[in-house]
Amino acid sequence: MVNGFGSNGSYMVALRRGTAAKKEAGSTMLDLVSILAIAGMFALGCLYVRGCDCLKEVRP
Amino acid sequence: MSLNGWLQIVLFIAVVLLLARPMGLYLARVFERRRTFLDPVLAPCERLLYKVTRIDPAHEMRWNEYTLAMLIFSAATMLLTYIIERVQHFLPLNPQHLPGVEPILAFNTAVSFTTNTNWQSYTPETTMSYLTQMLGLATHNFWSAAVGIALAIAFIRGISRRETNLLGNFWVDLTRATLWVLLPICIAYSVGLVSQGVVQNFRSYDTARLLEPQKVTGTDGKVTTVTTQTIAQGPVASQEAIKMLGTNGGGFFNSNSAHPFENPTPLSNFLEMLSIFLIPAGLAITLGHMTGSPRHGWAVLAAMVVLWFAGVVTCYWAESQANPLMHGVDQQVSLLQSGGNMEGKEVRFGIANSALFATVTTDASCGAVNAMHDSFMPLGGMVPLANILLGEIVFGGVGSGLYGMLVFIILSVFIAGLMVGRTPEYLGKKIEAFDVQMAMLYLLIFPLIILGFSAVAVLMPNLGLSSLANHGPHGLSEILYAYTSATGNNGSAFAGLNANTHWYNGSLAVAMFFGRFLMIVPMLAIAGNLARKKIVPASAGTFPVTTPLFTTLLVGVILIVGALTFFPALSLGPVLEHLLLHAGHTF
Repeated sequence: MVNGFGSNGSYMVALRRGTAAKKEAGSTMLDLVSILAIAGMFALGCLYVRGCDCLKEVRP
Repeated sequence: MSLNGWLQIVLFIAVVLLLARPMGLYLARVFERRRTFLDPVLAPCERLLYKVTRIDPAHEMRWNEYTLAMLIFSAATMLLTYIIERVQHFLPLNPQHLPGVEPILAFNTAVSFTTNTNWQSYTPETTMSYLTQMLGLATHNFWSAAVGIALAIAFIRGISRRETNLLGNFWVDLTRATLWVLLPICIAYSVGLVSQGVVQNFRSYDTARLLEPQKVTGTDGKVTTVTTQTIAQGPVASQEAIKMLGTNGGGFFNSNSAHPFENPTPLSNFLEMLSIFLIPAGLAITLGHMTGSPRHGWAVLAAMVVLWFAGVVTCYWAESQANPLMHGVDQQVSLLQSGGNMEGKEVRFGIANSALFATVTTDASCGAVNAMHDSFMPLGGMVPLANILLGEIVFGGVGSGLYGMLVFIILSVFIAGLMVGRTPEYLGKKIEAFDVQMAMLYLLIFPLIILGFSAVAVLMPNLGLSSLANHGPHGLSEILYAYTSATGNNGSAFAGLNANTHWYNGSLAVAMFFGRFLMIVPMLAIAGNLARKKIVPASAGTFPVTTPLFTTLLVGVILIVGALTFFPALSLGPVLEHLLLHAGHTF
C-alpha cells in the first residue's frame, strides 16, 4: 500500500490539481546512478551465487 | 468481538481449506507437464513463445543456472519498468498528463514491483499514467508472482528428485505459471470484480461538485476552499485481480483496498482475501503431492493455519477493545455499530473484516490493506508487524511463502535430529552441514537487513527521523514496519512515515532487493544440494514429518526463532506503546 497519505485535505487538493508528483527533474546523473545501482545489485547477486556454489565445493 | 465476526472468519478459512486441494493438484499437473483442460488453448501459445524466444523446453538447469536465469529476467524487467516510469509523459494512455516519475522514486518502484513487494512511496493516481500502471506495474505483478511459483516448484523438485543436479527449466516454469495459473484465474476474477463495481476504463478523471465545500490546508500550508472532488478512474479491475492473487498488494489507488473502486462490497472483500491465500495454500498440497507424501503437505498447511489463527485472534481481540483515551464515545459493539477501535477502518468492513484482512495480507506477503494499520491499537498493529517478522511463511507470498517454510522445515528436522542424536533426514534426504549453513544464511540475512537499516534510520535525525509523523514508541514502530515490510517483500505500510525521500527510497529499495534475491540464492543452493542426494529408506529412528508432533515442532521453531530475534525491537515499539496507552499517553 501507500505511504505519505497525508491528511484527506492535502490529498484532495493534490487530486484536484491533477498531480502531486514533483515536476520532471530531467536529471541524467540520477538516471545513471539508478541504472548503475540496478546493474550493481544484480552483479552482486551473481557473485553471491558463485560464492554459495564455491562454499559447497570446498566443504570437507 | 461478535458471533457474526467469528462466523465470517471461520467461513473464510473453511473456503481456503476447501480450495487448497484442487488448487494444489492443479499446480502439480501444470508443473509435472501433465495434461490439463486448458491445454488445447494454451499449449500452442506456449510452443509459439518458446519458438520466438528460442528456448529449448527440454533443457534442464542446475541450481546456479536456474538462479542466474531468474536474476537476468528480473534485472531486465526491472530496467524496463524504470524506463517506462521515467518516460511516461512521452507515452500514450496518460489522460491526466502526469510527468515522468523522479529517478529515485522510479528506482524504488522498479525494485519494489520486481521483488513482489509493491511498496509505494507515491500516490498512484497522481503519479503513474495508465500505461505505467498496466505495462510497468501490473505486468510485474504477474512476473514476480510467476517467479515465486517457479522457485517453489524448483525447491520441491530438489526434494523429490534423486541423484541429479537438475531442477527444471526456469523459463518453462515461468511461462507455465503465467499461462496456466495466473492469467486464466485473473481473467475470470477481474470480471467478477467488475460485477461488484470495480472500475475498468481508460477515461480521464471525473469531477463532482461537493454538496458542502470544505476548507483544507494544503501541503504548502495554504488554506484552500475545495468545492469540487476529483474522482480517479482507470483500468483497476485487471490490476486488482493479480494484485491479490499474486500477493503483490500494490494498489491502483492511494488507499488501496479501502477504496470503493478497488474493493466495493463485502463479497469483493471476501474474494480479495481468499485470493491472497489461494495459491500459497495450494502450493502446500503441491509439495505433498510432488514429494509423494500428501500428509506432509497437510501437516505444513496445518502449521500455517495455526499461526494464522493465533494472529487473527490477537488482532481481532485487540481491535475490539475500546480505546481508553477516547472518553465519552460509545465504543461498544451493537446492532448499529462495530464497536471497538474504528479509527482508520472502513465502516463497510468493520472490525472483524479489517482485522482478518490485516492478518491475511501480512501472513502472505501481499501488502494490500483495507484499513490503516497505523491506526490499529498497539497490540493490534503488532500482529501485522509480527506476521512479517516471522519471515512471511504463514501461507506467505506466492511461492516465496512455501520455500521460506521449507527452510524452517529443514531447521526443524535438524533440531529434531540433534535431540535424538541421529543424522537428520527430510523425506528421505539426509540434511548435512551445507544445507544447514545455507538455511542459517537465509534466516540471518532477514533480521540483519531489518534491524540494521532500522538502527541507522533512528540514529540519523536528518535522514530517518525528519519525515516521521509520530514520535516515541509509535515512531519506532513506523520505521521498523517500513524496513520489515520492505525486507519481507510485503509492501504494506504502517503509514505515518513519508517514505518519499532520497534516504527512504534508496535504503528501502536496497532492503527489498536483498530481502528477495539474497534469500533466494541460499534457498536454491539447498534445493540443488538436496536433488543430488540418494533417498534413504525410512527407519524407526526417522522423524516423521506427517504428524501433529511435526506440526507442533515446526510452529515452535518458527515462533522461537522469530521471538528471539525480534522481541527486543517489538518490546520497544508496540508493547511499550500499549503499556503507555493504558497509563494515559498517546503518540
